Amino acid sequence: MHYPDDNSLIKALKSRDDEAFRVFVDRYRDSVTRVAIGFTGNRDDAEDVAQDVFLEVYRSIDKFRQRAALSTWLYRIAVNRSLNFIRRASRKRVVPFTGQYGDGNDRFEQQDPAGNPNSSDSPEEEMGRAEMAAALDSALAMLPDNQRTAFVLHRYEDLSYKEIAVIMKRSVGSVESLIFRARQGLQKSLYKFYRENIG
Amino acid sequence: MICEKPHKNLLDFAEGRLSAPEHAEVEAHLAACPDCREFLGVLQDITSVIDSRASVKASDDFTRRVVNSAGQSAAPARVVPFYRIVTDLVAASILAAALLGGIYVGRGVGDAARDRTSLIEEKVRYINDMSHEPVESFILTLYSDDHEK
Repeated sequence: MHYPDDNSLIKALKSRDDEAFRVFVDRYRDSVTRVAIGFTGNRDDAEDVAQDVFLEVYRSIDKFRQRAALSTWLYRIAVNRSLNFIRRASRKRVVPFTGQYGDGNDRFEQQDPAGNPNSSDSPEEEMGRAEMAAALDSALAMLPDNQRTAFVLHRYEDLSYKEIAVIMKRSVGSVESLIFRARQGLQKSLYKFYRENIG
Repeated sequence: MICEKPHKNLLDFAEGRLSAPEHAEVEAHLAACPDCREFLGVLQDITSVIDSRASVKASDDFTRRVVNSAGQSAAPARVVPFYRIVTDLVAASILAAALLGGIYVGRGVGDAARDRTSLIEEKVRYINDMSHEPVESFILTLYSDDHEK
């Protein structure tokens, strides 16, 4: 069965068509995972969050009134679930801002910072990249939620300011300002990391 | 030598986001600042991490796992045991009976109270019925009789 546009896909999803749900997941799974990794920092957690997002859509599709595009709704759910994940995670542990990477989590030892299992880097290079990944995660964690959201949607998903404005229900100017401040904040935090650990 | 004020556009420079004039300005600063040159190296590594994450793909079995989970979440609801239904009905019946009993008793008390009230109101009305002889005129009448005497 072919679903050429969102309307046909939504109609099939609301009628609990299993094939339509499979197509929907296939179509958006990479995007949702990329948004989630902007908050979680590793692919395993990002896929857990992404799975929650799709199950939420499966449960709530009847409530979707199509006032926005399906992708807009999906991105909003992805951002909310990602923020919930990092809030729960921050209550359990503190992300270290030292020369050590991660929290001793094996994920950093087994994967490269993007979560790709096969890396051709030397151990020293992998260690360096893991440190940088941890520094990036710490710097992102220090941003306000709205700045981080705008930055992730723009930089990880390559969405335009206009698309992000629709998702976040803000003006284009507001999104531009959020991303500008996010980048300034990141540079500031990363310079502090550099001074404390390298420079 | 540590740069007291690293150039604010270094991250944008690392990601190639600057206009030509801005790019030239940062390049001029970097030529004179070894600290910022070293920091730029860190930012370029960070940019590489961001690029890796921005190109990540979900694992091959992701869709299968999600579809399986959705199928399990759509399973029929668990059947409630019969005894639970009976105890719930009995509890609801007792509550309803208590409520109706309370209403019945309350109405009885209310009726009796209304009867007493109407009796008192009659007597008070009789005592207070001054339409043919107001108190003031009664007192004045007494006084005028005494005075004349």
